[in-house]
Amino acid sequence: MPNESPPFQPRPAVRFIFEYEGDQVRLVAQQAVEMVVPEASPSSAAAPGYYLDARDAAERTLARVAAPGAFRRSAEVFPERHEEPIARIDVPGQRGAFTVTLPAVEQADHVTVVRVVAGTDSGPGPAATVRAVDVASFPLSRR
Amino acid sequence: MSTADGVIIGTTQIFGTAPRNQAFNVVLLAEGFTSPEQSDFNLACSAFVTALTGTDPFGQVAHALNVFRVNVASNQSGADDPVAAGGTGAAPATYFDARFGANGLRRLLVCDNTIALQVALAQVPEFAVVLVVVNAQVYGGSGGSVGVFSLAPGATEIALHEMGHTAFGLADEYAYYAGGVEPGQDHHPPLDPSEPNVTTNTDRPTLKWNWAVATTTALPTMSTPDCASVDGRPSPVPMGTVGLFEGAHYYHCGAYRPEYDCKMRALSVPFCRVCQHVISTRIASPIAADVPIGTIDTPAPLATVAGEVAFTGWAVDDSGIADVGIYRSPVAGEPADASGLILVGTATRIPGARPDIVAAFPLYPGVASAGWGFMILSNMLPNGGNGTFTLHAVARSLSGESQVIGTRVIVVDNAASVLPFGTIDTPGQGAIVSGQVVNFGWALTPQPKTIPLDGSTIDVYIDGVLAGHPSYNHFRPDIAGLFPGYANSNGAVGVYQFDSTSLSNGLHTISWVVRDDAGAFQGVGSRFFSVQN
Repeated sequence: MPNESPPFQPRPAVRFIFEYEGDQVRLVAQQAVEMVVPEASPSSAAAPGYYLDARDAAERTLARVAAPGAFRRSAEVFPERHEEPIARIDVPGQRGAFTVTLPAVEQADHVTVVRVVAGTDSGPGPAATVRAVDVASFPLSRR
Repeated sequence: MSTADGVIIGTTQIFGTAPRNQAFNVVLLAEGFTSPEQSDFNLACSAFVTALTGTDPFGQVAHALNVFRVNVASNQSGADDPVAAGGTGAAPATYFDARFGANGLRRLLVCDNTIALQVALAQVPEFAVVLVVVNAQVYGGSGGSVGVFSLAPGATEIALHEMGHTAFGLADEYAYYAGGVEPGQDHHPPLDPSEPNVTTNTDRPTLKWNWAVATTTALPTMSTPDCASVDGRPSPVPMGTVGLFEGAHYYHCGAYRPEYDCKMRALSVPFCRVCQHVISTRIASPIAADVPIGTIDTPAPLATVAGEVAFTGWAVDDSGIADVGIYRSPVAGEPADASGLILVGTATRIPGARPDIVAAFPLYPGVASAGWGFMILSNMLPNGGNGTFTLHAVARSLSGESQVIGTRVIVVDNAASVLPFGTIDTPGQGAIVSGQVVNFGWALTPQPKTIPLDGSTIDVYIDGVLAGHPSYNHFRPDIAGLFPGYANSNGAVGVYQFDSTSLSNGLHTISWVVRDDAGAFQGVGSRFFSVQN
């Protein structure tokens, strides 16, 4: 299992590069690499955001890691005079790219980009619910 | 404008010697530098390394840090600078297609992130961060999966802030979205953000950064008085105090940040202690250093202090830590030892105090006692505890290596202090107690004020909860001799007794808050102790 190694230790992994425009996403590259990768519990997605799943052929999630920088809807604008505020602006439909490194999982068949959103029944406090929506899936290369 | 507009020359490691598969690898890509301009890129990379390692905590974990530069020769120099966004109209042919003026904002400098990531993957597959250095003197930059910054003064700050997002999962700590005048940012949604440096939770025991909050620090530490606007007031507590400061994660109310200021809130200020901790453990954890590693967490750099000062931090080594010594640099004319320093004392290592370090370094011997603490009564420093002093934490490993793991310059100003001061003597830092516990301490306050003799204005807190008041006005000759002339000099000692069987076995905290007859109050003597009944 991918989360049996101690945290912060190098392990076999696969780095993916994705490109997106609007809500469309495509896999640009995948390459085996050994390096330190984040913890990848199948149930690690407790907060809204984008994640990458490693799944088997039966669609069981074997590992999940966050995908920071995916589908950015805003950009930071930095002041030249640093005492002035940083600001964000909306950039809907922007084209961009992001990278995710996932621990190598022997049983994995494909990867799926997942969007986790706050549930509609969200109430106050940390018990508010989230739900996951599949965005797109891509086969793993067997090189 | 694309990869047809240039050529990759090659990759050079310009900083670090850590194994690539364990290191935190930063990749700098040249954009808009022609072949003859590659030396300019090399200089820019050197300047970036200087800025990076000069920013806490990167310098402290340099043993685990590698920086690579990828020289790429573009066919033409600079970046696109559209007239429509206030630019010059330049449109050079460059490899990564960098352009100012994204979304109509000239200083929003972006590039083709797909190309940048692909080049980094080909050159340094183990990269943690990719930064594109753009050959332009116009101020600009952007973040996301790839950080982009120009050669303009101060633009490296953009890269450091964006590394906080991309590599360390840190959230923005500013309390607005579009600069502070936009509507709809009054109240943060209830779901607690997943990032380690913002929260909606105000419960002390379950707070993400509970480990960094002194028991005497109020929570929330600063609340926004009007949720319809950004709170622009100064901090009510000394800079470097970790607590809960309302206004974070793009909202005026309902979300909190750990310190008043942080690089994730504004450029050109240090990362806060919580962010520094996230960064240092992420970078340093995979690599067994040749020497002990660790940090000083408190006090903050250049903090102005008086009375008792808590030095805290952590240290680990792959052979285990033998001890952590607290030293100070000598003042003029003062003799020092062969190292040029003066030993102040040995810190107490506290089992269980830093579960975050245990999680980050699970394989290190003795990591359960990585946290250390040392209380300095600053009144006992030279010149009556007035002036600027430099203190050092030196960790010594069980295999015999010693390493300075942190240095703090503090400004000690007891002469101007109007606050009570003192300390707790028992239980000692990290002491193991059982049954009935006698808690001794002492407190004084500057003249002409006095501390009421019945001890009713001395509050004893156990685990952050008021437990009672000590019996006060007891004489101790050493205190009377060291601090003559105070109203309470001949009765500075207090004693409080409590039954440890009312506490669970394990780690607890105790502290005093002393209030004088003018209402000035100060926390003294906060420390850990363990109950074993």
